Parts: sequence; structure tokens; C-alpha cells
Amino acid sequence: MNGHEVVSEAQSGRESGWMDSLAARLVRLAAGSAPQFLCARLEEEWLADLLQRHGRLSRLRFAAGCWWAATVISHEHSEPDAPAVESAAGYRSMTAFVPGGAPLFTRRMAMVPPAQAAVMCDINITPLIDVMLVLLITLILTLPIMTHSVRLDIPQAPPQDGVSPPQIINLDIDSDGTLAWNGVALAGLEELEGNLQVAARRVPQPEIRLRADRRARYDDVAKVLASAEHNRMTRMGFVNTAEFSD
Amino acid sequence: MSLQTLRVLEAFLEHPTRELSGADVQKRSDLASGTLYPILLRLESAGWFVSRWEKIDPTEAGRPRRRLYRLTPNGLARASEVFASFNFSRGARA
Repeated sequence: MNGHEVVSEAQSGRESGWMDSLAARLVRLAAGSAPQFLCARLEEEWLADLLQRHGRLSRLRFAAGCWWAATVISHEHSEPDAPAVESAAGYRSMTAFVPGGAPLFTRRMAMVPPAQAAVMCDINITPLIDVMLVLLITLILTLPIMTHSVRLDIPQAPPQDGVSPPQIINLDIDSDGTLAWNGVALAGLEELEGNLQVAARRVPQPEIRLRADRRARYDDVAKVLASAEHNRMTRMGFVNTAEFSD
Repeated sequence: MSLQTLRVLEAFLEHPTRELSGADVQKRSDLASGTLYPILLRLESAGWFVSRWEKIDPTEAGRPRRRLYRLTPNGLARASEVFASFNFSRGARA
């Protein structure tokens, strides 16, 4: 009775659940996928170690690990040798090859002694990837800065389509009710009416800036305002109103 | 040399003359089987380990034979050098 039969008997007693049976089957399959000269050894060794595990989940995890181990072992033993050949001219040449899946196993291959290590002639792309990542991160960091904008609400300039700004007329009301049109005293409300009629017809209509003395009577100011409204003056404003604040 | 390999070597260096099976190493190193067995085979092919089948009758023992690994003198010297170069204090790991 060899080790395999004992394993089967021992497992028949222990494999009370389907998980144990699945684990043993996985181990056998994994060992079968290993290199031919290691199949029998790995199967017996792994099945023996499988029985040392306690718990069904633990055994199943062990079996899954054996799958990975068989994959790694197969890969390492499938590396072709590249013997150096010395030419007649004295140069040593070596057959180049690119091992399949090299990036996955490169770190593990580092354990192999130099005398047995296979030759890798593929390009080392690690620094290229490093540079690419640096460029990518730089782009990601600078992109928001490049597209960043400050929103400003700038006042819009009035259309300058040949229309001159409205003329400003300074209309003063003195404390004694005297009216002044751009600094020129008026005879009375009649003259103001005439001036307003002329100004109302001009295009653009001039803007009247009314400045009343603080001692002027309200009645005089009210009459001026009524006269401006009566003559359809649309642009009118009060200036120097600060002196009325107290 | 990877950390996993160091842990395997550490398991053997606790008792350099003792023979350990894969299951024993796994208990000591807490490595997954997918990592452990390639390392064992690699170190064996590099001459750091030798292995043999357990000398038992599987029928009498009621269990299959285990594969036992042991450090070679060369492996012991090389492993000691590695740990010395790393200034690694064995047994410090919990």
C-alpha cells in the first residue's frame, strides 16, 4: 500500500463533507498540473500536509493555495535555458527569449541563483511606468489650475453708437427763490418753462441736476419740479443733498 | 530575498538540525501554501535545503508519508549571513 492509497483511506474516514472531498480533489488536480517529474511527489506531499490542517475551510484554502503553488512551480520550471555559445571569433552570444508572464514572476525569479537563472532580455518597463505615472499625476494636478477662472461682474459700458452723452443742466434754487440755469439767473418761472420746453425736445434729453439751497422754500422747489414734470423732463436728479441731512 | 523567504528560513533557523514538513513550516511562518511550497522547492533546488520522505509505514501509521525538509550546512551558513546582513533578530516577531 503506497502513500496515495493511505491518503485515500484516511480521507475516506475524514471526508465527511463535500468540502473535504473537494479540497483533496483540488490538491490532486493542482499537483497534476505541476511539471511531470514533480507530480507524484507534490501530490503525496500536499495530501499529507492537507491532513495536518484542522477545519474544512482551512483545508479548502490550503488546496486553493496549492493551485497557485503549482502554477508558480510550473512557470519556474518551464523557463528555457539560454546557453552561451562561443563563436569562432571569440564572441560569446546567447539566445534571447521573452518568458511568458515575466512581470508576474520577476520578483520570485530573483531567488534563483545566478548559475540557474534564466536570461531575461525584455525591456525593463518599470522606469517607463514610473515616468508615465509622474506625468499623469502632474497633469491631474495642473489641469484644475489651467481651467480655473475668476468670475467677475464687470459693469457693461453703454453703447457708443454715435449718441453723445446727455447734456447736464445745473438748475439752482437760491434761498430767496431765485432760479439759475447753468449759473445764469432766470427772470422767473415763465423763463424756466421756456427753457424746459426747449430742453425736453432735444435728443438725447438733457439731465437736470437740481440744487436747492437749504433755506429755499419748499413751495419754490415744488413749483420747479411741477414745471419739469409738466414739460416731460425725464432725467432729473438732486445734488448736494447732504446739507439737508441735519 | 523576499520577506516570505526570510520567514521560511527563520522557521528552520529556530532549530537548524530539525527536519520540518511543509505543514510544520506553514504553522511557524504563517504563510499560505501557494507561497510556501514554491519557496521550499526553490531553496531546495538552490542547495539550501534537502528533503526526504518520512520513514514510516503509511499502513501502520494510518497516515501518508510527509516530505521533510532540512537545512544543509551551506544553507545554514547562507541563511545566517542573510539574517546577519539584515541585522534581523530572530524570534523578535510575535
